[in-house]
Amino acid sequence: MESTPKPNKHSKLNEDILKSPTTPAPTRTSKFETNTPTRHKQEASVFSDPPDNAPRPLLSPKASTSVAPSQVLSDLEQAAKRLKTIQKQNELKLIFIKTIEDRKAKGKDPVFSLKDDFAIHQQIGQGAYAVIKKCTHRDSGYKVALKTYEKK
Amino acid sequence: MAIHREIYILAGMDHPNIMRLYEVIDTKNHVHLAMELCPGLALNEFTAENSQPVKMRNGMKGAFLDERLARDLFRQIVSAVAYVHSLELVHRNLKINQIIVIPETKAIKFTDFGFATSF
Repeated sequence: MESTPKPNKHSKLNEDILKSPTTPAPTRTSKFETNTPTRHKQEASVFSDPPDNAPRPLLSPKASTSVAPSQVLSDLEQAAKRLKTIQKQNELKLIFIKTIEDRKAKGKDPVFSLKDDFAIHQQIGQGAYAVIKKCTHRDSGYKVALKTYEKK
Repeated sequence: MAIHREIYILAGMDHPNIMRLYEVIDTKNHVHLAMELCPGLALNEFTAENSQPVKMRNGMKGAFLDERLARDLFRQIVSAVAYVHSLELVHRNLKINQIIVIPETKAIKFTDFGFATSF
């Protein structure tokens, strides 16, 4: 292969490629070379703190100062209140559904009559065909949305 | 009639992210649907309230929801849509105003099945 008489472009390129691993491209490698040792140095400085010193605090001082403990407490109380209201609503819902099922089992055909079973409150929303009002079921106290369509 | 269709479709549905229909009360001049009460905001209002303004690198201004919240909301929306489609039904009027978010529980409710049909 070395004694080939024709000096091609490709042969020169091949020589360059063959040489390249031994003499790597200058720009990139230099960047990496400059970066890597500094990183190692930083890590070393972090981990080589003397262990015989006083133990570090678990929370950094910044984190402790940013949120006041009283605020955390008030947030927790609010969350607990919300949970209680949700639980109450769920219990009332179960009672409401039970009444429907019981009445269906007994064979009441119109399960509810509007005047007797519901107390109608203010209007919540309005659609193209319907009006939506807030109601409470009188027996259980469960709040219901009542959507009323007009018959034509 | 839209009422009959809505009642027929809603009566067969049972999903936590779809407004539930409890009973139908028929009177002389009106039809009343007793439905689950969902005290909350429409999705566009909710996102406008809860997103935080952020300046991007290229100078554009934007507002972003918290990623966890957005993921949770989107999961619920997709699950409700999948449920509706699994019953071979289409909502046909699904837009940002029809989706309600309850701010205490971050639960999503689909409303207004007046245009829904089977396919």
